[in-house]
Amino acid sequence: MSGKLPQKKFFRQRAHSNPFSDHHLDYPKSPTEMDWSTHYPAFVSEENSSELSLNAPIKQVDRPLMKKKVEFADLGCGYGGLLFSLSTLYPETLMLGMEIRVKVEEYVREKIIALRLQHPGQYQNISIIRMNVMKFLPNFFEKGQLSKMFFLFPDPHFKTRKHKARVITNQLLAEYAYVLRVGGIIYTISDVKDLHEWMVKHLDEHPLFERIPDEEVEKDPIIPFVRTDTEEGKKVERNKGEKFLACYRRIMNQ
Amino acid sequence: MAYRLPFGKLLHHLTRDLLILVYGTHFQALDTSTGAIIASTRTLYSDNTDAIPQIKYITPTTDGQEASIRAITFHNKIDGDGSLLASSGEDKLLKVWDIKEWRLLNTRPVPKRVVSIAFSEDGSQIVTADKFGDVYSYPINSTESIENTSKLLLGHVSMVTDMVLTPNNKFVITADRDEHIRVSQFPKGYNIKSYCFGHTQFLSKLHILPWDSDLLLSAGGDDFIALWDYVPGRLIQTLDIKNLIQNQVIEANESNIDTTDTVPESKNIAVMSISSSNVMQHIAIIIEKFPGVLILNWDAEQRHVKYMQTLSLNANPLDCAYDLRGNLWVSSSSKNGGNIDEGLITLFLRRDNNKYEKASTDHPVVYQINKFGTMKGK
Repeated sequence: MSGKLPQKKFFRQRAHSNPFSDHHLDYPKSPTEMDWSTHYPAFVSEENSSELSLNAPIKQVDRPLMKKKVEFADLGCGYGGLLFSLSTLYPETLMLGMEIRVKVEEYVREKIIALRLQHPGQYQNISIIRMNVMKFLPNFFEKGQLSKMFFLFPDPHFKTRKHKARVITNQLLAEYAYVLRVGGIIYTISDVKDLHEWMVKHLDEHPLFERIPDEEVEKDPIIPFVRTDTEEGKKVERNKGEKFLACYRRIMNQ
Repeated sequence: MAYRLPFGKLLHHLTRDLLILVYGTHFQALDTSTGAIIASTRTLYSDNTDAIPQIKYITPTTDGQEASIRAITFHNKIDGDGSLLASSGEDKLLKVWDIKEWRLLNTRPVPKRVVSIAFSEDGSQIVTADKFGDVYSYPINSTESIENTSKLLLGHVSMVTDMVLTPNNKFVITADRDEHIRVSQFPKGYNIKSYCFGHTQFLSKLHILPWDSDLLLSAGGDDFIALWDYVPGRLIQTLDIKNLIQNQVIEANESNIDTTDTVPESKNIAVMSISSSNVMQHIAIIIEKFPGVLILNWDAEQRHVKYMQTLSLNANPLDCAYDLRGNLWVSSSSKNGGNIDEGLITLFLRRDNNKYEKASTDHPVVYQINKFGTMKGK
């Protein structure tokens, strides 16, 4: 337990992963059965009692109560750049990174452990889990639990026949709308214009999302971090590429 | 050695004495009050000079599905006489049939193989769920091209294994391979109402209780079946069925009955079919490779299902359906491809004390179908 930061070069992994395959993932049966205490030990509630889960009257589930629920989710968080930046910006907000690639998730996990050791009291509000967000999001988050969802530089899946594997689709927007509260915000950014236009088209068409005008978006203090703090974002800067940003608010069902 | 193809699916009409029996690319229609075969997409089977009764062939027979039928459903009008049937198969064609005149109304191609079909209550729309995980709705009368008329209601990323519309058509419930049961608004399927969490294995069947339509039964690869108040996504009850059948398999082993093709101990089970009868409030469950049918009855006070008995068979059942009188029709597969000694269709007659009595294979009501139904397999 040295507290030494992990080096990215030992955690490189191929960018693409098939979200339709079985990845031998660990996920809870339902949000009420998720044990968040191993992720955010500093946020475990002092009063700890066994809780009769409302959704499973047959079984009594013993689980530490948490002071807070996760509010920010970084879907496809990669090497965790955004999480590490936002952690100190919003120290009282719980944030979860979800990443499907084994090595990349390991890197982030080790880095969180190291940072927590190096900076006691800090970085307690972020965590990572190896997960397929396209399949198991509702297993983790209750209806309307999240206030922000980040889709930063998602896999473009360039070929037409692979478009169905894109993380933003008409079908999945229903699930994202379910876990995101009314008024919550979806952040999307990409350097691939085609993907940006695809995401904009689908979000524009979806009855439960409305676009936040660019002027308003620029006032959001998170935006600079969304643009520059991820591994992908930095790579795009180095290659002098363009970044296309689009943010949407979850609105009520008409 | 030649044998007769078994009936893979049975489907009974909600208000008429009509049973549809599916085998391969074909289906036949039976009047369950008289036992008369009334329609067929193929000439009847005959291995001798027995007189074949007059029936209506669905013509032209080129109207039939081009590959095995995987999904079939009636338009069930609760207060009325639904006269539509929809079918779809490996051929990715969705067909709508008129069951008064027994003719094909229309055919349209669908993008992926369909797993479940449902009609809207007013009969204006057909809803399909496919293997890719998508649920589409189509207008009944396809006058325009498919691109203009199909509406994507919702989709799972996992394979959808069953789909039902609630009787009031307020919700569409979908189940998938990754243990999810999702309750979405209908027709605005992008509004997810709730999830029913609790399964740990794939789902294969969803069944809304006809006598308590707020409740949903679900089953699949788990050892138990589950009962839900589906609107809030609340689990009401789980009933262990693996132990039930395991004990019976042990008994069979002990009495040296041939169980080479039955559920081995400590293996996972898979539920193939759930049917129910509003008449006695019974539920019949078929489990893959279990030579029997589990019968559950309903405790209205506790709002629970209870195990009542097992109807035993000499072959593995494929599907079952209740008729309007509460008799249970069961189709069986032939064991090891040999002769069927149980008959293609086994009928369990409902008796006065709500118990069942197995009818003989040439009982008048099953005589024709057992004698002339399906066709020779290879």
